[in-house]
Amino acid sequence: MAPILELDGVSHAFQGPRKKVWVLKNVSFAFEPGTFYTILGPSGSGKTTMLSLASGLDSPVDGRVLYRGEDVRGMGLAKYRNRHVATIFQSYNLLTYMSAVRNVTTAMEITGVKGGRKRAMELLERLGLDEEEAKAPVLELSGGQQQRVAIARALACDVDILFADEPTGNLDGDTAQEMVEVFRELAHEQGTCVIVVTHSQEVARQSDQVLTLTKGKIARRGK
Amino acid sequence: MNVNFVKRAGLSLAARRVKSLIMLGLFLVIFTLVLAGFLLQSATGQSAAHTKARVGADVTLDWDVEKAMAKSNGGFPKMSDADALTTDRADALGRSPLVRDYNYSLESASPPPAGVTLLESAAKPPEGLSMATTVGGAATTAGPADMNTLSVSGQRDVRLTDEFAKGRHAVIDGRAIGPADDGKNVVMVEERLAAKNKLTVGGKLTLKSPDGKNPIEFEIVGVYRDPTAPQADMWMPPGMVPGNKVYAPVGAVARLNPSEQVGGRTKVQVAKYTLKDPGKFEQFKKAAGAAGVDLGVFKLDNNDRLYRDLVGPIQSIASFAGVAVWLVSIAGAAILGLIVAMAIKERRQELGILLSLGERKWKLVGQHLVEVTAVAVLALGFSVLVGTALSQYAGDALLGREVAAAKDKEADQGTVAGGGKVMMARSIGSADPGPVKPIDKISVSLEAAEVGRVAGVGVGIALLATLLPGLAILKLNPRTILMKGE
Repeated sequence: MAPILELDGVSHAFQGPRKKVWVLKNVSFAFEPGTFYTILGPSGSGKTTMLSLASGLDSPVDGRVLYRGEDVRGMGLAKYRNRHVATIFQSYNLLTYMSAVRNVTTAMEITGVKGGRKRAMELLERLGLDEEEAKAPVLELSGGQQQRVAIARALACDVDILFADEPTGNLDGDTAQEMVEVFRELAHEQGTCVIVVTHSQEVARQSDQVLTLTKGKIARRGK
Repeated sequence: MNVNFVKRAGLSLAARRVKSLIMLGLFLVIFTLVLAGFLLQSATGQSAAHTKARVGADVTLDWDVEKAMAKSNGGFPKMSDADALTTDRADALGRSPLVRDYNYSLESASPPPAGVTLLESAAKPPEGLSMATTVGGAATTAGPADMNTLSVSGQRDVRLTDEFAKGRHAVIDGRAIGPADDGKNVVMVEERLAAKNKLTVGGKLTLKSPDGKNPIEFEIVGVYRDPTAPQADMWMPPGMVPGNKVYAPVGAVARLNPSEQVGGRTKVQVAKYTLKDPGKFEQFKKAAGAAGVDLGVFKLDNNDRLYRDLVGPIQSIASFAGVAVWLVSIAGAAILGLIVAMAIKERRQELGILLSLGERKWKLVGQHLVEVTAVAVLALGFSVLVGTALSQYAGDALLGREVAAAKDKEADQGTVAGGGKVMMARSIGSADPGPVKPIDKISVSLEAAEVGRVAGVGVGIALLATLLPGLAILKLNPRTILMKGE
């Protein structure tokens, strides 16, 4: 199967107090559609950096990120983020002055996805939020509910690739398991490429492929 | 074009009510002050223009004594008959299409006509200076008989003298002397003098030259009222006591004084022209030259002092208003800019989220601009409601202070001058009209132009306050905002 996303010799560094600190070193990997990937690794191994580069939140110092063979930098990172990828953050990153449903419809408006409020309500309901919760300001929702809103927002954008950075880190076991079920369903039933950065071995166990990063390099890949 | 950022701006404003209200209040203060400044500028400008049209048109043609003194090399300045300003020259200039109206005067004096008792000064004469005020022309007690005179003011058109034009004097019986009286021996007398001597319209009065010669009988055609009371604390010679003054046509005064005629033409001392357009003073100067007036001998004075006295206080207000507009605009832009910059810093997370969804950076700046502009439009509406009343109040208060200051200054100058203005002899007096009441009221009215100007300032402030801090948005990187470092 043709890869939907490729990291081609990607390296990235940050300017430390005294010298440049390389957090990713010549990483190459091809992600396929319809697959649920997890990225494991100790803190500082480069997991989040790899996810931010792959999701177009930043550009690598060296190497290329290719979406269906096209360099995303040439495409434009904003366009890449707008049309092809969605990201779920550990800290939810919702627009706090809006209701749950308005967060979802706002994302749909920005990404140009049709369906409006009706589709947003359906997604929220599918993720376990009732109408009252959907209309409530997001700050009145629990952490688990906010993470569901963040996932609904990502799903609403009809993207090919879904990134998630520690999506279950703030959730209880049952809710975390529900999230994993959603990711598996997205990958296996809708053909979405789901890439999740996690510390959880349990989440990794339920994914299709696990990449383990160590000191900025892929140390292991496989199930 | 997807304008979802406009909807987001509305949601953001509604959600952040307190901050929106603070910004509204700030804009309201800025706009009200700026609007007040513009309204004051406009009102003072209109008032000044109106005043300029009213008084700035008066031009006085007078003998240039300074030039004459310079030419005389320290000797007594003297005007040659060839250079004299005569009625035919003054009339020629008066016929210029630039002139709306004109007047000229010739002052003289006459011993009291037979049977006429002059009005007396309220104060007693100084020691050793005594004279009779009744006598058919001659002093009966010791004292300078030549001071016991009736003032005779020759005018082409009495209604154009400052006294009548400004309403200080008024005709109460008969009529005023005008151009049609040229060649006639007619006279106007003051109410008190007429009452004291039972003089009425249609009566006769025999006037003479200052040296008591050349008697001519005049017909009384009008009685006028001069409300000026004699000064209680200062003695004045009879010729200067208010009321002891008669008006007559210039030609008639010249007939009393043959020395005021040159080659059959009548000399005049000063002429005043009212221009149709105050801005055509330079053209009028050329017309004066063309009419045979030697501007090396005569000077033309635009009635600038009167204008300055009248509009001085409002010009101070206009100047203050102009400075206030600039200061408030600059300070307002700076304060709002800082507020928006702080808001952008506070809202980095929101901006990062929107960027992660692929929102364009210009739309993020646009969202801030819409938020600020929406508040500004609302504030503009409120400022229109309160601005006019505030401007009127501020204008009246400021003008009151300026007028009081102007009066103090006038009083100081009056003290120094020792009442010199009262001693003015020339009744045409435009070159130095004496103390005038400055404009002490301005009418502030709101017009679309002022609202447009404030809206323009508002747009400028909103743009500056949004776009400059908005540059920070262009540098934002969603990764650094949203991702936790490893």
